[in-house]
Amino acid sequence: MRNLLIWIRGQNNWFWAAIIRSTAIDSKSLAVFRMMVGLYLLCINSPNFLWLSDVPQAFFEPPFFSIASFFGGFPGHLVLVLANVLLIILSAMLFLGVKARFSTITYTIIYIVCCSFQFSFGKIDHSPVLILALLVCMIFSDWGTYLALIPDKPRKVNQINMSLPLLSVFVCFGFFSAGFEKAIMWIDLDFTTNGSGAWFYKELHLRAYLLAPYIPKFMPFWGFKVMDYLGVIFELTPIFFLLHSRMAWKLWLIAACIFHFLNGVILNINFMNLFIVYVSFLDYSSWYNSLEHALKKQPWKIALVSTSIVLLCVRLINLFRGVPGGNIFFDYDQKENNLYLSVLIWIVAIFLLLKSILTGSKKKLEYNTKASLKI
Amino acid sequence: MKLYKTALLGAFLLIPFFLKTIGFEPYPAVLLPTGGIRIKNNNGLATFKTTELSAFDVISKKWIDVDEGKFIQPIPIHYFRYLTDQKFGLDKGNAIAKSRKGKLMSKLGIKMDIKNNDIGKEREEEVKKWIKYRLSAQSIVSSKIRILTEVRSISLTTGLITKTYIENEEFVNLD
Repeated sequence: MRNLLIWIRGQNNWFWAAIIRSTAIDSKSLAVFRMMVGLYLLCINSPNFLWLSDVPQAFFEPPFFSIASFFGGFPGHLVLVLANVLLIILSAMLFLGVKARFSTITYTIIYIVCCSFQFSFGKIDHSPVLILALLVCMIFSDWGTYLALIPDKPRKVNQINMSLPLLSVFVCFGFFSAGFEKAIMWIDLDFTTNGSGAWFYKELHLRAYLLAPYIPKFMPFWGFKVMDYLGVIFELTPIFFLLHSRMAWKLWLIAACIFHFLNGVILNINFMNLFIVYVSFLDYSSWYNSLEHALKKQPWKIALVSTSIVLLCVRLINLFRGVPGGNIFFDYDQKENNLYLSVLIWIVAIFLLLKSILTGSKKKLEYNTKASLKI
Repeated sequence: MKLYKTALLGAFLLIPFFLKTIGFEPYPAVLLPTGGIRIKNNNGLATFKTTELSAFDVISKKWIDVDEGKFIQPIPIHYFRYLTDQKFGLDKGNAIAKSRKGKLMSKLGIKMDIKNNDIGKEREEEVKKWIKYRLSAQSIVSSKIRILTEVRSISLTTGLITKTYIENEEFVNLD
């Protein structure tokens, strides 16, 4: 029994050491990423929950295991105004680095609670799941200690940063949960049935842009079956890439970006939200040096604060004008423009990941040494 | 990471995953959408079920097709089917019976106590008023709506709908 426990402990140590080797990044790089997340929350993914107060209370049907199930109905207008305004202000605080740990915790709690109410129509949306996972993981990081107007106190010296290793496990499990049921439903040798085709044809009226209109004419039906196989393999395998090496993990992330890019081009499905999760695993140390240098100068500091104030004001105006959440550039209804934006974002992500693979080999040795020392 | 923390993390991930498979998906949980639906190629045709809404216009005395997206604004369109399943909150038992949870309970022979089915007069009036108001935005003055479950055949090469038939229809009186 004791030997078994020792063996399990050994496996556990090996598991986390491998993940840390593949993902760990220093706090300075995470500080740059924090600014990106703040900007992302202000520009690309700012939710709007105000409409919940205009909905009849009879629609309220929360999941049994949900925060909303402790309540009798949707929240009132004032509560939602307060929550939305706080979310916008907290995004700006994250961008500027004003008590980033507190901002992250508060943002995460408000976002989870508001989403609980939004998902009380009989369906749970999964699009914010990994962004929430990202924020939860960053609570345990030092991303607010550098490049910050009001910095956080650093955590204990020599404490290894578990935020990205934890996030990578969440990403792997999230994809596993999606791929598992697909594997049961889709994987067989019957080429007259498939799942990807069901997505495509079921809402054919929405598949009007880029390559989508040409698919029925030029893609054979079995092509969707091939997409089923590739999709299931892609979703069930990230843990193996993660455990293998940093390079392998980045290759899987590139595959993920290509997967979302193709989803946009072929199926016209927009997965813009996940962009920020994938680029969290990049090393921004070189950006840190340039940013730190720039932010020592007063004009750059003023520019940064002004930018966040302008974005904050735009978001607040949009909120009270009843503009649905989403990105700052296009309305929710402008599907074509939103699709082009998402395709552009995935191209940028693929470029950044490829660049980091080509330039990242120098850092590899350093992280490997650190991980083996700490575990 | 210590072993007990890994075990806790495993429980945090696996318990919601198990609950989802039996139809009790919790929120929040680290779960991504499965979308495990399928189509079959029947000689170049595939069939799908869709939910449509029409309203009886008291002025023209005709059933008029409703633009679902505009109708449920500001609620996002992907909730439409879930709202029609519960007849816009007026019959929650209907939605639960159609859900994975309901089907599982039925298979196990467990009778579900649907506490929310009687939503009360006030909430019922609120829903009917809301439906009438949303219909008036499409210039429809209605006393009754009809929720249709249609089965459509689509050509896999042209993408055109070749055949449609109504599988089920449910009515909601608004007066």
